[in-house]
Amino acid sequence: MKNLRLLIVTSILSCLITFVSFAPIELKKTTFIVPTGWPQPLYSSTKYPLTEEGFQLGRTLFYDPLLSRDSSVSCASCHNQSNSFTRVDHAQSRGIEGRKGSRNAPALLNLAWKKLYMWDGAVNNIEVLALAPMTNPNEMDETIEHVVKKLNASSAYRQQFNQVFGDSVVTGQHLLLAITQFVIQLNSFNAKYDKYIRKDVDGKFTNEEEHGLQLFRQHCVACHTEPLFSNNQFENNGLPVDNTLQDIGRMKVTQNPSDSLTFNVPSLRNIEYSAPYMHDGRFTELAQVVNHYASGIVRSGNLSKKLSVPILLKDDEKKDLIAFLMTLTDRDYLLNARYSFPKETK
Amino acid sequence: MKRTYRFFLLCLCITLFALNVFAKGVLVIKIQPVFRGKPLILGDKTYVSENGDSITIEEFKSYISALNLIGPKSSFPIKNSAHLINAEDSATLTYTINNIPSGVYNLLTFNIGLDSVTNVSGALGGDLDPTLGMYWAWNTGYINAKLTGHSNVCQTLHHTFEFHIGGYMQPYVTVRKTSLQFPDIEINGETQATLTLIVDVATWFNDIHLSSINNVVAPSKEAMQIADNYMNMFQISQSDESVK
Repeated sequence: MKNLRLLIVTSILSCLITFVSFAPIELKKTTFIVPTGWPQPLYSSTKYPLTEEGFQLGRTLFYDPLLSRDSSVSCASCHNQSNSFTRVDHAQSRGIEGRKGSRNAPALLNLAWKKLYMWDGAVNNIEVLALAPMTNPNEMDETIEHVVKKLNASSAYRQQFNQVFGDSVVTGQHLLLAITQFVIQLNSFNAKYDKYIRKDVDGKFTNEEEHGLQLFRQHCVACHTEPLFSNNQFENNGLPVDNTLQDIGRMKVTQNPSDSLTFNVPSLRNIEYSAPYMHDGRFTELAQVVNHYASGIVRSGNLSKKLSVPILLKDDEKKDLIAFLMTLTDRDYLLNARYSFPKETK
Repeated sequence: MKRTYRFFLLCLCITLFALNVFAKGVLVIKIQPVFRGKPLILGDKTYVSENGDSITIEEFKSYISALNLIGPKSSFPIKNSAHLINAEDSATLTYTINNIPSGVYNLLTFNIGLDSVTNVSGALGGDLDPTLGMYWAWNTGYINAKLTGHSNVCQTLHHTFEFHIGGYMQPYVTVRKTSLQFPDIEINGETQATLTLIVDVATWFNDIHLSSINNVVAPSKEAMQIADNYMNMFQISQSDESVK
């Protein structure tokens, strides 16, 4: 009888131990914040939940030059945090061996609120966004097959992938989903403008900024729609075609003549720090951008309908408009330690 | 006693009936790549197309998806059935469907390629993993089917021809539906049924002049023409003794 009791107790104990040792390690779930008054994001992470571990793995990958063929450039080479995750010193982005691309690296922020990515919308889902720079010969010139091979050769990476995805063999899917976890959490919504909208104490606009906002809502908001400062559409903003680049924009993807010279409307958040401007980085100063809309528009056949009425701006109005654009700077974003190079892991 | 016996018999009958109705079966689909009836051998072997062009094949891959097994009384759509056929990898030439409800089936329908939903669903795994060389990064979306090789009529480097057929947006939607009829197959829990499909890559070249169309690597009019060509590349093997 005593033996039987002992047997029962031991078997229950061993069952418990087995259960505990095989139960998956609890990951720290992350909540995706949708600021008050914002629309719901267009992307949500449905395949795996957002976790702190997934975010940190994505962050490590974002800063790792292993993603490029000769391990010389990482995502961060063209997407530098203090410039709102773009690069200031090149109009068109540079890849390995100093190779020159044809477009200006876009700033990365609030990406879950977009449907199509890249200047021409060639990427249809944020989960596959990193594939384009990884494989473009003028950027990282790598193959995803080879990146996965390199990651599988690293026991540290295998361990991290196992922790996040429950699979110690790194796959292409898991690589892309990890990067996605990081980039969709690069969210900027604490600029002076946001404080002004929220009526925070430090959100008081000067007269110039207030006037600039009025002008902005009169002339710019049809494309640069608040609160994301983009309508997510493709528009021809009347830039003269660069004869060297001959970039036809979205038409390259759709082959539809009505998309000729249209480009994705970029968000204006952190614009103070994300020069140069336009798809080919042709403008280095905000004043040049404003002057383009005021007096430089080329009125071709498929110029955006929203630009059909000329934008007439006096000099002081231009200054006020720029004063307002500066209120879109979010220092909490540009200096957020969570987004920076992960010193502790490498 | 007699009553109990009868009741027991009834129970037995019901159980047997239920077992029969709810038994799940297995169908193994075997895929045999050929070129005009001859087994497809990658690399050296030279084939002659209907136009008389000499051709060698280096690579053949094709997605099949949305498989649906249909019988006179029932149909069984197979969930998440996307499968990549790769002529180089014999493991991909067998596709097993499990848990098929018992019954008689005589029709198999499936897509050659992937539907638009799959094309916009981001990073997927398994046979849809982007490391398998069937995903376009520059203009995101899947390559539905790939055929590359050489022909002397191609005035290209090393006389190469390259067909990467994909595109899920109008006007270049390249997914194609195919349906294959076969003599009744009885699926039950006891035996494993087999269906052999031959896939004839010579169909890709129907009405195509390789001298002019030899590099189709983006959604286009030519990609649509080739997709229309290979729409009927799958056929039920007539010589298969397992088909009764």
